[in-house]
Amino acid sequence: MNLSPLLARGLAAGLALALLLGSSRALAADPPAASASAPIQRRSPPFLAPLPSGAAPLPPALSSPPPPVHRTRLVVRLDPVAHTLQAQGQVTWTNRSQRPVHDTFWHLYLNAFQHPRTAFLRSRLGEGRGDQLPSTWGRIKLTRLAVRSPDEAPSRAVDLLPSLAPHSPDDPDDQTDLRAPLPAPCQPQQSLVFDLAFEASLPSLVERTGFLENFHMVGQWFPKLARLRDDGTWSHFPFLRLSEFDADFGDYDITIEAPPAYVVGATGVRAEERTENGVRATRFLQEGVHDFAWTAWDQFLERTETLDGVPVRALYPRGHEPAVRRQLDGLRVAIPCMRRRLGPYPYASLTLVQPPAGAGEAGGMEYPTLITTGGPWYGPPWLRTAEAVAVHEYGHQYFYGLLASDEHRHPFLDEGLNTLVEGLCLREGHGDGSLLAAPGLSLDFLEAGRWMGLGAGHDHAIAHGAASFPTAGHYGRLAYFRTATLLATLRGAFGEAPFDEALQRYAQAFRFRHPEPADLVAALGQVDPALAVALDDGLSRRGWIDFAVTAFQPGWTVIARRGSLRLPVTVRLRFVDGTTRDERWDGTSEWVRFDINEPAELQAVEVDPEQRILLDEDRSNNARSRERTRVGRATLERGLFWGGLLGRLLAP
Amino acid sequence: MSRRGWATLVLHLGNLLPAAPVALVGASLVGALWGEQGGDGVLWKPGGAYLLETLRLLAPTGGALAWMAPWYLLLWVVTGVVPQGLALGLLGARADEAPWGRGWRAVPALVVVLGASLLGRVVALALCLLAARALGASLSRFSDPVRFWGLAPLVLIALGLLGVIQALQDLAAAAAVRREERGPGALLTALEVLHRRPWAALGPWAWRAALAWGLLGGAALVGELGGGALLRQGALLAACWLRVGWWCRALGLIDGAPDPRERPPTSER
Repeated sequence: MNLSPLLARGLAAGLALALLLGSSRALAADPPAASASAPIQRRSPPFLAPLPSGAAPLPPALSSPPPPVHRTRLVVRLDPVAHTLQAQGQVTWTNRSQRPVHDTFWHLYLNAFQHPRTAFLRSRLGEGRGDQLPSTWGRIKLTRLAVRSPDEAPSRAVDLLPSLAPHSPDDPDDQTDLRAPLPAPCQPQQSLVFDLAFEASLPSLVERTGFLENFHMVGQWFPKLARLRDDGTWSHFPFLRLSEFDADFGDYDITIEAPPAYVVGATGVRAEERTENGVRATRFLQEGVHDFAWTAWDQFLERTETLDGVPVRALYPRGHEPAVRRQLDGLRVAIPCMRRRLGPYPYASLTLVQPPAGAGEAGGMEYPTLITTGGPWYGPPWLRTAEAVAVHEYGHQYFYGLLASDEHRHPFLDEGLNTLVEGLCLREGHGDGSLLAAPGLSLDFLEAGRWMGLGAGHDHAIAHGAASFPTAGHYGRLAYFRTATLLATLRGAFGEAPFDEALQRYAQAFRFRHPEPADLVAALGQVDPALAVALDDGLSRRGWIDFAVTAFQPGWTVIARRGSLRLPVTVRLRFVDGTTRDERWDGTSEWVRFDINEPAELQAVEVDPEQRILLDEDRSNNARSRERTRVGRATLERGLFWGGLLGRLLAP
Repeated sequence: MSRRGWATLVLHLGNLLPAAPVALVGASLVGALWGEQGGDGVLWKPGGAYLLETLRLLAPTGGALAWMAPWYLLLWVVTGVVPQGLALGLLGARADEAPWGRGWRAVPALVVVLGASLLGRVVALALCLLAARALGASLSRFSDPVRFWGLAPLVLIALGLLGVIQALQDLAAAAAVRREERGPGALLTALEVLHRRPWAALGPWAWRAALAWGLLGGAALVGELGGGALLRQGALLAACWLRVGWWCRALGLIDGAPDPRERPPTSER
């Protein structure tokens, strides 16, 4: 999901204010002569056993998808006037866990929109999309759910419908998470076939799915088996307002029937298309994915391009060519950037959907091999939000798609990592102006995200399940931006190259798997055990940091590290003779003092002169100098100019 | 210095004076944040790290002061009639009279003229918005760009209306100073001038306004690339010079218009 609009709105407000404001000699000791030496007791991350002193073992990388947990074959017909679906087919499912399974859990997430008392619609939280009640309710009804062995005829299947029951203890009115007991335990590696048929009504567009006039965005539309973990427990949960998804990898074979005038885009590769009796059936195939979404509209225009070897199909409304061109420019940067950082994109197609005006609820969303973007057809060329949305959603092909973490329990694992890589790739493509590049002014995406990330750091820890954030704003600021800011800080503090290599190892080791937070901590901890400690503190204990120069004299200076995070940092000492010297402080103690014994006295001192510690709570206390400017002259002049301009506009 | 030069200076200072306290407070706050790091030059470093940090740290201060912004702007608008009156007084005073008195005396009338002008602008914008809604609804079957460009003429119409109101306001201000008319009388005189010689009134206003805004916009953009302060302040001064030039012209137009107080009764014609 994308939060660029939130970032852009915050930025716009900030920019309005911005317009108004318009080297070294030898030291006494090297390392520093005196430093605080209070014993530091390190804690172990709660996500994993104490970190090994060397490299933690990562699973071997998979070059292709593992054997599928399920093969889902469905034929679905869209009635674009009634906005309904009718579908039937089979799900062949294999118990890949280590334990026998006695029941199954099914997600019927379109039922989140069937009345205002569902868990989803009761929790309208503000500060985000999906807060409007749909004007047309949506629902899904299973008309057949029966189970059999693969070698049995469908007529011998055991009907599961009578025993199918909602399983949302706190929400008796919610029918999005249902339990179906099996007639007999399913042993490890045993397969079952579920024959199913269902009818669904799409809601008016609300949070990712639904219709707007003839436009249909069809996500979370079929009865979907929950994910079975290795230990034989199910990852199942009702559809909640802030929560996204968790599912097993499988193979999809979906045939979509719609009137011939409708252009259909979907997860996977178009394998077959035929028109009979006034209905066009398009068959999509995709292996090694954990969801399937599609769209159909009779107004779509289409453009195809191959970007870095990836065939991209863009579907968009008439007149939106400028926006789509910029989104494709974003992908032109993102696809090779993420290939280098995270490994190759393994699928043979990528579909980009730009929803029409008024269908914003369908935009900014990721599904395997299908992403939706959004925003107006126009946009100032100096603001890169159109590119950023495309880069972000494409990044989800890795963090969520290939590295299929549990978005319900650990949203930071996909959103936070993805926001970091989004920022790095935008920076790779556009330099310092990765978010905004106007004459004389450039803004970096991650720097702007830092503002958001620092905004809620003391309220709530990052490492929470999606449903436990108090508002959508907290969810966005913490799961997306504070995580990205924390990771960018660790990257800056412990070294960009080793961090990037560790992230690459993580991305390759957990490709086609379901990584947990402990896996991330272990993988990044290979850079430095102190990084793992800081990462854990930042994720789960509201860890924070503020470097400050607390005392400054010509012969000595004191730097303090406020907050719980212990990070190495550079201290730049500038002397009266014009020379400078960079000192590395490991940041483990609470403060450090530099005593100068050489004739040249200190002129100034600055902590983190290259702004690598993005999480630093207050950068204004990072420096002291013998010379001090009391009034910002450039700000005064700019203030007078913009004030004069305003006066010209306002005054008679 | 000529009277036109003095008038330009008065107008320029009048524009800057209300901006000065805000700019000074802002500059002092920025100095407090970055004074130890070489001053506010860091704000414009590539990537915007310091600029964003400034905005983040000062956001609570800005938020706390935001409530007074509308009142300050209103005060700014209303007190703007003083430099306007003084500048027009300098330009419109006869050779044998003190240059300031006439301008001071016109201030109450100028306030009335300003009020009428603001009301006219609100009405014009409201009408344009209503028209945009109706036009937008009728264009709903077209693509987004067609709808956008379909509404563009309305933007031009709105700008044109605002321009006419501004020119009218300036003519009325000139009448209030030159003829020492009260607000309603000055407005009637301005309307009569506009009615009799529309192009002679609107043409000189329009090209000067377009040039002034072009200069200001250009300075805002190009000034960020280099030579900023000189360019920006020069553009502000030039815009005032152009405005004063238009006021000279407006005073001439007022002089050329018949004075209702000197007009003979209809029965004696």
